[in-house]
Amino acid sequence: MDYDIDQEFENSYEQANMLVVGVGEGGCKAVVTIAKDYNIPGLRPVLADKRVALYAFKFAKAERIDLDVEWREDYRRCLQGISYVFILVKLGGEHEINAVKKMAQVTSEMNVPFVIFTQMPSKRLIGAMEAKAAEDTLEMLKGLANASVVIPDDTLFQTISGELDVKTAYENATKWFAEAVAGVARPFASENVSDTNASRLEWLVKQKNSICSVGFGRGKGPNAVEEAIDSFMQSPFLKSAREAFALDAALVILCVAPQVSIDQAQRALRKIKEVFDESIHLEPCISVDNSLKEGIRIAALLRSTESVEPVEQLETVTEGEKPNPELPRKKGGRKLKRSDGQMVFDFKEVNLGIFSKNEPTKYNGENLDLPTYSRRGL
Amino acid sequence: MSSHSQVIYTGIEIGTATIKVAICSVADDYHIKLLGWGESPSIKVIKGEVKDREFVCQQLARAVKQAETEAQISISETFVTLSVGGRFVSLVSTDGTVTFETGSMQITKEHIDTALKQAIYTPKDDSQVVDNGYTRFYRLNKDEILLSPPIGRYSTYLQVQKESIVFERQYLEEYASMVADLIEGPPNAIAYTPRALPFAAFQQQDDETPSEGFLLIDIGAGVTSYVLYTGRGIFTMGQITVGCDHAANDLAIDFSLHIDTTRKILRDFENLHCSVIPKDDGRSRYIAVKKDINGSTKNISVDRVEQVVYLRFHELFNNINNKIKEEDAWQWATGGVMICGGGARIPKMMELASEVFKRPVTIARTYDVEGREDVVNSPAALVPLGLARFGKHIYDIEEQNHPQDTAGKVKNFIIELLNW
Repeated sequence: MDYDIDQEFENSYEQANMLVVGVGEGGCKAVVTIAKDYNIPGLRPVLADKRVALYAFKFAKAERIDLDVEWREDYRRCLQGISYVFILVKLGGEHEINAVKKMAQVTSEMNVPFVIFTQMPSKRLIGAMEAKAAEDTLEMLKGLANASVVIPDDTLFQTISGELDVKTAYENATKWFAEAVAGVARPFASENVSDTNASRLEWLVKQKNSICSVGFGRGKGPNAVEEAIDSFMQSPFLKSAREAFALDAALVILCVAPQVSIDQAQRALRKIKEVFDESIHLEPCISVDNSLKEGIRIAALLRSTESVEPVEQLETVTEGEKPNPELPRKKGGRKLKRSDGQMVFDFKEVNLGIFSKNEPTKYNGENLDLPTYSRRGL
Repeated sequence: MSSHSQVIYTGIEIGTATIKVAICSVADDYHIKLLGWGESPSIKVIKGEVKDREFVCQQLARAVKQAETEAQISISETFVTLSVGGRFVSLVSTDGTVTFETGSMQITKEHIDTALKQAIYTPKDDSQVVDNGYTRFYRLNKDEILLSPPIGRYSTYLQVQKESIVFERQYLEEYASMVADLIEGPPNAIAYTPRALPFAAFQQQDDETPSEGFLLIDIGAGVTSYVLYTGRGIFTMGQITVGCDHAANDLAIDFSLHIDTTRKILRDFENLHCSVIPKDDGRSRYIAVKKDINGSTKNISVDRVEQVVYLRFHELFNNINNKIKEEDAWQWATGGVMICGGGARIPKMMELASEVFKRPVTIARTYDVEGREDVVNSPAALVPLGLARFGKHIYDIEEQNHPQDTAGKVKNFIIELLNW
């Protein structure tokens, strides 16, 4: 039987409460990949590009925003009833930069929380002016978005074998980009087995101007857990110096194939926890991924804030190295840890006062029972 | 209940802060004479949800007793209407369309009836109770929107949009049973809280004499209701479960004070020379709050208090503004905005609303009501008085439909759906 991707998604889009918006060619390609390869009910794809490019995408079920005309009203309509937005963009050309700036402004004005995944072009391949424009835009986006995840092209292409032809290399890079976003988005947009819901994402991204990096790994077979953690630790985004800010919190999403047993899943979570230093506030969750034929996939959104000082390198401590005496380590293994000298981000339990025992008042993904000043970061 | 010529109406509102009971006579021209008024603190109600049924029933009994004593009548002899709101009530918009395949045709009453029938919302299962609500608008060619039935107009199609009010059965039954315990029978009618507001604040219009439209906002302690009344009927309405208690809670968290203390600060805002719009006067102003029985006090900054309260209500108005924009409904609020409820008493609330909505804002008062001045002039009394008038409206409709169904048997269809 032919697999009709559009038909498969038709019903799930009716209940979608999250948007994944691709801006420009790079962003749109990643969004189409997410929609086709990852089957995440509840996540509605939107493509925003110039008209000529837009209609080159053969994916009928995505909504389209034509950047050649005044499009902001169309985008506002897309945002109605939406609780979260993921915006994907490669800051290459002028029109992507202009469009993503406006998009971030509209999303912010509509009070819809959003995370921007920005693919930064390699400075070696673009001019100094373009690089400066991309960096300025990134700064502006960080001010508007609830969180921004930066994926430098240089790092992305470390995931690709140098012997691949150019077309395949770019396709693979898009797949990695898509996998990072899909891994993070899945438990929030679709049914999952742990008590993961949008509030977890809200918890992570509520710190305005936070910078996040992503890591992910896959594993299958009898050593699926170890294999996934290995590839997770080797994830180039984690190793990259660009993302090497002091970590204060991490949201770890364990996606498992339907046949994975609860024992395996819990063992995987325990192993993942051991990877992180105790001082990093960790939120683990499990999601069943029907698109995963076997094994597990780990995706993690790692948060640092601009209020903490950047550190030299996100360290991967391996056995045999001299441990830092100030940071007690668990037995064996490797750890993602806070840097020395980092300001401590005191992650307090959110105080809801008299509403702590009540069903939260949700509006556009925000819990209105939380004090307004606290949600606005004032 | 008394016979037709002497029908007396009771409106009951179980609010987050206060339970209010109004016993009234309502004339055929909808003039209200307030006969008895009772109110009692609810205490065990949070965001419109009853947390301790037994306690709230006792408080309700107190409020009813006060009103009965003043009116010299038992409410079990009256037509009782109860307001219901909160998160267990939702609104569903449905369309009905008649298309004329042969081209433009003159629209008749039959066409409208057909479209209205199509637009009736069917509940998904027995867990929902549906009040078929009201007709929002009629749409003709070229997206022309009309509020009155377009009989005689030409178009190639007719679309009708209705908004139905959907109650969760279990919640509705529990809520109504509190009143049923008291009057030894079910209430005669139930109204979604925002629906009662236009009945209190505006003259009941017929199609020939439309008046200006207003957005009417009732800022309660736990829930804020809003309704856009076009002058001919309701265009949209809703509730946000945010109210003055949220501002008090924000202050309690920020200053580590007890919620009762911050509620009092909010109630005494005027006496403390505070307002919801922060005064940027550069002065250091403080409120001395007594913390314990030993008399130790804590000074809290007025600037900060005002800032916290401002942020909360600014956000609340902003959220309502967004909802009205989403419905493309501002075009019908030609007269501006009216605010009422306990929150309307907070100094400069009108100015704040005006800042957000960018429209003239006034305090809503009850229309054509005589009785105790402290009640009829209070912006917090609109719901119970509106409920009494709504009760009269339901009674008249039921009596018109079932003239043989004499006093004591008239019940609106929601009550019938509850099998009472």
